[in-house]
Amino acid sequence: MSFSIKKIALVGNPNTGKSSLFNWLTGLNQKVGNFPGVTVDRKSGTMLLNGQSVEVIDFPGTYSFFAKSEEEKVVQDVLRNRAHPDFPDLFIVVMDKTQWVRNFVLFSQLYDAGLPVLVAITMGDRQVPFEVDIDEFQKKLNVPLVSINGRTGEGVEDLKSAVMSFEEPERKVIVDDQFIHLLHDEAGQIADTKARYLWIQQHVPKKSRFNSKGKVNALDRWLVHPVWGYVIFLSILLVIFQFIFRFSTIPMDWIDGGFTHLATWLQGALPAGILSDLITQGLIPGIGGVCVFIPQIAFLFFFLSILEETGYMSRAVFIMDRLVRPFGLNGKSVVPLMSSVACAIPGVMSARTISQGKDRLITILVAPLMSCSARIPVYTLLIALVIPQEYWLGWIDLQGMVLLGLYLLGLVTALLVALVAKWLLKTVQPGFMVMEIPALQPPLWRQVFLTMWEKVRVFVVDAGKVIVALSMIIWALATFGPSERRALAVQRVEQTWQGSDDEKEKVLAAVNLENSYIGIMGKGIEPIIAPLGFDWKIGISIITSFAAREVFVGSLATIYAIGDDEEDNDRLMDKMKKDVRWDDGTPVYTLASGSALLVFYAFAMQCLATFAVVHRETQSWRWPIFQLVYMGLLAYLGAWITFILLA
Amino acid sequence: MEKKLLSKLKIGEHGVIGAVKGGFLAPKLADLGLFEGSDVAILYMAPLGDPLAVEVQGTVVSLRREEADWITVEA
Repeated sequence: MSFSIKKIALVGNPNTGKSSLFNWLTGLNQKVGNFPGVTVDRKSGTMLLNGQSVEVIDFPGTYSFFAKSEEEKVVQDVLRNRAHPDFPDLFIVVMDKTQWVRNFVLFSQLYDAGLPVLVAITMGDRQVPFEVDIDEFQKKLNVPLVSINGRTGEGVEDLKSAVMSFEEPERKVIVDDQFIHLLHDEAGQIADTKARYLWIQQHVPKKSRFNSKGKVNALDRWLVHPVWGYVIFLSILLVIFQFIFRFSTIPMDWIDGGFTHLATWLQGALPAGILSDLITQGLIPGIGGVCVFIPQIAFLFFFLSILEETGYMSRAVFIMDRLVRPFGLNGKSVVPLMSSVACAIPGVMSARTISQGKDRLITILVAPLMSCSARIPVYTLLIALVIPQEYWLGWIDLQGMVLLGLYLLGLVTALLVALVAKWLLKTVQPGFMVMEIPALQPPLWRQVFLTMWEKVRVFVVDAGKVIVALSMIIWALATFGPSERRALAVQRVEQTWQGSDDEKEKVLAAVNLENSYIGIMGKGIEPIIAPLGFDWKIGISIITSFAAREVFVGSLATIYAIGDDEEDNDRLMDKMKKDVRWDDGTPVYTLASGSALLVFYAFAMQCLATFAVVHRETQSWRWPIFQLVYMGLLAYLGAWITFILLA
Repeated sequence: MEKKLLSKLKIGEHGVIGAVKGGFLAPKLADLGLFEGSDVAILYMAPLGDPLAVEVQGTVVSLRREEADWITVEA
């Protein structure tokens, strides 16, 4: 049997099980991109029907043809324009049986607009206190209709047959086929919506009325409770953090080790030379630097999609909204910000659920100020180095307090910056938080794992390119330098060296870095960073650690000729402690300069991957660059003030 | 029958929407079933009474207090 349908669009209200139908139809044959010009996910995939390949596009959840959000505007643009590249041969309208009346609005608009529609009814497995008379519906509207079960996949094959045998039915207008002209008429839109609600209630009434007036589900009573609601939310966050901090380090170490081994092995296998260095020191560590984030992203989205799937997320948004609103954020910003305490990358990615453009942008802009786990190695090294191991009142560990202080500094600054951004950023359209709170349900594991897979892939493919490219530039700058200058420096070491070969290797590495382009840049910025109490060695490490904050420690280890593969903080600290300024012989690392450096790292962006992911998520270079600059300025000023106060 | 703002209802109380103020929010509220003539009931509120969750047309919708102030109910 051959059929003419080549492209299908899935449309429907949010929370109807549309995505799970999409996953049943396409499996892993899907890709995620953006609709042109906006940051709205465009999920598409292919399915085979009788050997014919059909493209399926999963449109963002939409309540009405009259768009109120960026997501809905995307759908509206397609519905209005038959010449649109995404205009399909068939619309599958997904309608949730439990939200029958509301779901009818969008369906009837498509139907009245004369678009080719087929209805998929979901949630057939859910116990509802009413029955929808599906036969009556079909008889009245003469529209092909299939029941499917998003959990078991039951009915998906029937849906496929219905697609293959689809024929335009004859139809009458339900409410109004001229509603498209109401695009700029708010009162007309309301009247149209209302007429559609009333039509379905009159013509295909539910067999018993849904009647829970004022009755709240027992579980919900706990989840939004003024005390327990927050206790539950915090406990969930703690579990997520536990996984991201503790358990993700295990696969991260494997990935790290794997790439190091691969590089070492290739170094031996490839003929020595520039090409070999490029691959083993530039490219492979660059790709490794992308892959190392996979466990954190996978863990976080595993949990977040469970929270989303079960419907818990909207309860968390509900109880948090009022608390963060004064800062120009909304309840949906809370999870992305809290996630950023583990790692800003999945944090920024998870901001996609914020449909209000301005709130979303603010959340993305401030998320990297939250102290992420990559700052910990820098913090621990510097705190141990400059903060005395003392106890306040005999029991409060000063070093611990400083660490806590840095976390609070990040949080408070993030909120303050959000507040400032709220005033500075012009809003395109007024924001609102009217949102549906879906019924609680057990998670669909298939969905959870597909979401994880999709997020990891988006990060590796989209952000990965930028990360690898930029990290190779940094590598090249740290590896190459003016040859004469380098040769001279190396020669000097060769001629005067009297220690072991092993030690010489490390000293040469330090000399090479010092005389690389980055080394020259590090020395070049010394006058700029001198007011903060930093010297050129710190300057070099700041530049190299733009790749990732933790590189700071490794870079210092190279400069102090410790060898960066040795995780020998004690020896490094020892050398750092003894280091003195070349001009006046005072120690480089004092309470003032060390604290300034701590503050610098609390604020500075210093993360290539975040930069790349913000570029991906905002679809622009403007915002990641703006973020880099404002966080850099904040870091500089913060460090400067700290240095002055403590010096 | 008494007219009051939706935000003035207490938890468990319900009423029929009498009017929704015109403006950008009104069509959005209508999408979710919050238009003149709909039954609404207050289900629960976040601390400080903001936002609030209402049941309307068989679904649960959350609104900020300032958003609920667009709606007048007869209860």
